[in-house]
Amino acid sequence: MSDEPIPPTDLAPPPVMPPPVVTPAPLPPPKSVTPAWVFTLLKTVLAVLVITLVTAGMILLHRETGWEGIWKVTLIGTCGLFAILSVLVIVGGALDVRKLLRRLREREASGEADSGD
Amino acid sequence: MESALTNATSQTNFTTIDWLIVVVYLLLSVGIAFFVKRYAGNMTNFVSAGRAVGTWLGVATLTGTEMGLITVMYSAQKGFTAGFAAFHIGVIAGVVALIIGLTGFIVVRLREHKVLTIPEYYEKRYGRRTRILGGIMLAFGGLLNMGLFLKVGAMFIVGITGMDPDGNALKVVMVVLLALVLVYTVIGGMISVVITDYIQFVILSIGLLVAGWLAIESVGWDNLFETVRTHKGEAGFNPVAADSSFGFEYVAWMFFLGIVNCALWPTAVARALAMESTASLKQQYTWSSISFAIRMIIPNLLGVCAFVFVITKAPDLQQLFSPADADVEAVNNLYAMPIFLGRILPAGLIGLITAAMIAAFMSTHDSYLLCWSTVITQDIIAPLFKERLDNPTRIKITRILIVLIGLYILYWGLFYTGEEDIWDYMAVTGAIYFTGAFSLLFGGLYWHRASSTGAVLALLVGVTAVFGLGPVQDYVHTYIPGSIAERNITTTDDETIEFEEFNEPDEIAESSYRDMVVDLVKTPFEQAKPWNRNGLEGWTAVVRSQTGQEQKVEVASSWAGEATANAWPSFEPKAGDTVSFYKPLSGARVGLMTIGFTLFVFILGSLIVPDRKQKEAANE
Repeated sequence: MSDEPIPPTDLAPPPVMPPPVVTPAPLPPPKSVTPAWVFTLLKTVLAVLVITLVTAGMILLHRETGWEGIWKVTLIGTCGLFAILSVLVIVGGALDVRKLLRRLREREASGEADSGD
Repeated sequence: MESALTNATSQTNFTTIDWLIVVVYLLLSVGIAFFVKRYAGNMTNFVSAGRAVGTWLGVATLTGTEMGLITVMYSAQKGFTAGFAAFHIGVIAGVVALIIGLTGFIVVRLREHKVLTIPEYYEKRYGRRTRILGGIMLAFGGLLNMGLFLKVGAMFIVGITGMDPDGNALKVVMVVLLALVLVYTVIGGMISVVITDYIQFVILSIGLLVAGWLAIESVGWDNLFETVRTHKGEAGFNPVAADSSFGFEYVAWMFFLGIVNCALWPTAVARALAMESTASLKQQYTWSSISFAIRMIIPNLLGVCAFVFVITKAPDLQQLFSPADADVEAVNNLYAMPIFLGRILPAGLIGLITAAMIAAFMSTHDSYLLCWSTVITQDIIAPLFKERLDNPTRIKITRILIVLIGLYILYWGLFYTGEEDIWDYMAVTGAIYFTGAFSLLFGGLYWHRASSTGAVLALLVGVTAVFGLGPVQDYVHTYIPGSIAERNITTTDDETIEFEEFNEPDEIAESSYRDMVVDLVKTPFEQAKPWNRNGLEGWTAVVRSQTGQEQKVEVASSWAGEATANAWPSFEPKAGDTVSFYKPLSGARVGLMTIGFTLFVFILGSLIVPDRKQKEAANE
């Protein structure tokens, strides 16, 4: 043991802790003035209105042509809509498949945990 | 008659080129399963495609699942037997899907809970015992429901390709189809299901539209309506006509089934839970409403066209499906549509249509297999192990279950010989699950006082839907209110049996109890008035011989002490045998009664025995 003072191992000035960075708390998302249920209600009213109008049209058609006319219009109308839908789904679906595979590949690469159960 | 059927199917236009188209398509499907295999490593990816499905892919997969070959077959059967009046089923389904898409009724709130299956929600809301019981009910109803899918699908392929229906072709087709579906469902899980659903949508949508167009062209637009008008009258168009096979009760039942198909049926809900957001989910349902309507309407149309074709252009088929001789048994009219398509479609196109239909068959089977196996793994087995099962074990169990369920549907298809209309069979077996599920989901998501006691009661009461099945009614017919107990047959004469005469009872004194309770309970059950002429017409007579042999037959005419049938199916009754009578209840009536009953016990149970903790509903 010696009385000599122990020389400092590091002659450099003591480290100075940087002042803590105060990050401002994220602002809460702006509160929407109109509650979401109002939009749901409006959409529901709109849907009911459209369905009522279509039903009224069908009733008028029924008066003119009977059930036969209704089924003719239904058949042509739904087939036409389905043809349009098919085109949209074929194009949009192909893009979605690409997006799905890209996401799954990314998740596989990042080793994301299973949260499903 | 069987040889006549073989002769009828053999006149198809199906050629080697068509087989080639079908084989190429099937290889493509299996190839996709292998391609996406590496992504199916965890349970969320395996069951919900990583919850990363976009709107348009969602529409494709929902359509691919719900527009199965079984749907095409039973809808065509409805069109064949009921004419254009059957269109109301598709229209109601489309309207209900649209309303659900716009409002998000049930499905959006369910998606927000981030559950994989419906019973998983039961546990969150009502507790573990409800989840396990709900899982058992779901699996029971669902497995019974899909029991005939394989056989009916194979009937289509045999009918359209011209294979021999009397040989082993049906069994071979069933085995091959099942093997294919099992391979790519077991390997790829929901990811391969979603991608193959997309390809199937492409082929199916084009195929159905082209088939519909050619079917109309083959019989003629004007002739189509004229023939239905001549042979079916008003009932061929008006679903609520007096002589219609549907009626208001059936229409109401279809409305409820519309809600079920969109918001309660696990295969459809599985698609909703796989969507990337609730906004995509609502868009998915809104757009899919067109598919929900068309999946019934075009097959209905094919069935109507097949009917017109049989009546006006194919006398050999008319003899097959509606023989003039009452003693000759008619061939199952499920064969009508595939035989019709086999005769009108040109080579090449017929292969494309068959590939489209096989696509529809496979897209439904893969989804159903995945859905029921997941329910058993996640909602029955895993909770029983108190969630100690890890992910790889769960996936392994799910894959084993997929194979076991596949073997079960093969067995059921080969050996079950029920005579029910396919659509009614499916509605009734499905009702075992969905009548209870409606109360649990609707109540749980929108009523804070819903309790686990009410939930368990509703699930148990849902089983009463099984009384809608013909064989079950036969078994318990003496307990059906209004039925007539066994009485001895005194004499017989060809098709007529005589027994002790019925006498009109004396008027019962008025009583408020009788008016309010007894009459209310009796309302859904028809009460016999056998003392009137033809008071038992349309009722079912169950004749039991002295040796214990039993047969049932519809009563053609009756009088106070006698009843006449058109023919005895099994044996000639003798004096000393017994006869009892009952009026079969329609599946629609039993279904509606079960819904009312489950809602009643659910509300009553929740009010009388509330849960101590009102869990999530209080926060909603």
